[in-house]
Amino acid sequence: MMRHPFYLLFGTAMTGWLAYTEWTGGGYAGVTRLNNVPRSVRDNPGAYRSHYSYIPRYMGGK
Amino acid sequence: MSAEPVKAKAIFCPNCGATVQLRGFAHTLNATCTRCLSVLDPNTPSVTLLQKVQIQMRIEPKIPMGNRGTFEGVEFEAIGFQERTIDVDGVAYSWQEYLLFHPYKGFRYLSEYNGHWNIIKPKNCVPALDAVGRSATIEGRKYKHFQRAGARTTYVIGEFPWQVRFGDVATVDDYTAPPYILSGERTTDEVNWSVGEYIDGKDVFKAFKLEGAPPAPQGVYANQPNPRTNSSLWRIFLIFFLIATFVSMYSCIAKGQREVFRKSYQFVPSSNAEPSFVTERFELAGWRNAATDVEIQADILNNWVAFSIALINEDTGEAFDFGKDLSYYAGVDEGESWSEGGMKATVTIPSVPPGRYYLRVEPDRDKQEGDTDATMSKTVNYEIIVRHDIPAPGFVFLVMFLLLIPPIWISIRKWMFEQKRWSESDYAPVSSGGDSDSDD
Repeated sequence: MMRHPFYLLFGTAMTGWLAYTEWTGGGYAGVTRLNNVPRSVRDNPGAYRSHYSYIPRYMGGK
Repeated sequence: MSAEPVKAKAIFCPNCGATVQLRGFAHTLNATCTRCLSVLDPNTPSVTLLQKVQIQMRIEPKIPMGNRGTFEGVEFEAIGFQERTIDVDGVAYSWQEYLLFHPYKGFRYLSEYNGHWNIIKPKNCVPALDAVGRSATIEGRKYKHFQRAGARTTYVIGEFPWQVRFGDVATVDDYTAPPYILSGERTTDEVNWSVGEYIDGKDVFKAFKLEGAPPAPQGVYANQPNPRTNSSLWRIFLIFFLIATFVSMYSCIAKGQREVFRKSYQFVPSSNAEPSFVTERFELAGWRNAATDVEIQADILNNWVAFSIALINEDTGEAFDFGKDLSYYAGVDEGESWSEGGMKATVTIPSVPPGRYYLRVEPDRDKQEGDTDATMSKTVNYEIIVRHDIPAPGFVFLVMFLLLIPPIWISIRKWMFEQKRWSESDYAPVSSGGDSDSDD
């Protein structure tokens, strides 16, 4: 087993990463994270502008 | 054990008169004159000339005759050298064999082909061959047949414990079980078996205290050990696989998956009112970050609607901004019912810190070509549900995939090495020529 120290290290890092990610609910998602959103949004939600890249499109069926 | 210092016996070549030293004592049946390469019988009182040869090009052995080298703690002396050649598809392949001698331990052979070295020990026992000659077993080790070829002696110097002549031919069967090789040499009246073990050329040079460096190995030799060992790598992968599975399953079981918010809303696309609004506050409890699901369900039969949503931390002002489109169309076409899209969608927001949150929601439905006023004025009922501390089972597959890459890569390399080895055998899928690629 010690013939593959780099793989042991890599595997330990990967499973450690998995455990940390599972523990903290980490992952990947199309979500934009923003800081310092003003408290005024509660009073004036229309003033807020979304920051994710969204292109409106027609989604009609056949 | 070291050989006792003994004096070598000397004879005179009857052909050219040169002095020929004998180091193999009574074992020596044939010797060659170092000057004229005549093969001599030193055991007759007058030294019989057995064979006179005309050699165009002399070969200088890498290990000079008389040099001593230690293998397995025994000091052997190089007393004979021969080059042997096989012809395959009109191409001559030659290798060199050194005869090593120790007065008490007997003989060993050292062979070299394209930088690949083997230390060979003669065997007195006969291996058990299978019915078709594809494998042989000796001393508990099973060997796979590699090659059969007619080997011709093309150069000889030194002395030998057998009758040796230029042009001697023997049928050689090689069986391999890396790093070992079993060879059977068949002549008209006998079969001699020997087992060789692959050794590094550097060890040979070191043992004989030779100057310079050994030639780099070319290609892959029949019994060259495969440098790629993947079995232990797969065992390590299995351990990590079990750990990752356990971590993922534990995470699934241990997560709270609490529903922290649920409320229904309505949206009329044609309305001129501001569509965006904020929800009431809700608590994402806990002391660590956790993934949060936002689920939207809408009654959008043959309709669509887009949502811009932000999950905003009231205390810190941190926001998680995302968009989600919902569309669902269904009907009956030529007697067959069909549907596409869905009335429900979920977005998972990773690593959300605990705190007080609210949602800023903005439904949207642009008027498109073909939309009627009735369509645009139709009320869309939808519900938003927020769940906190949810597991992310898909993440384990990414980790598994990354963990799989090294063992798969090494297995491919190992397979390629074996393909290269067997391409030189009698069992090559496609007949190959000389392989001059350097081994890595």
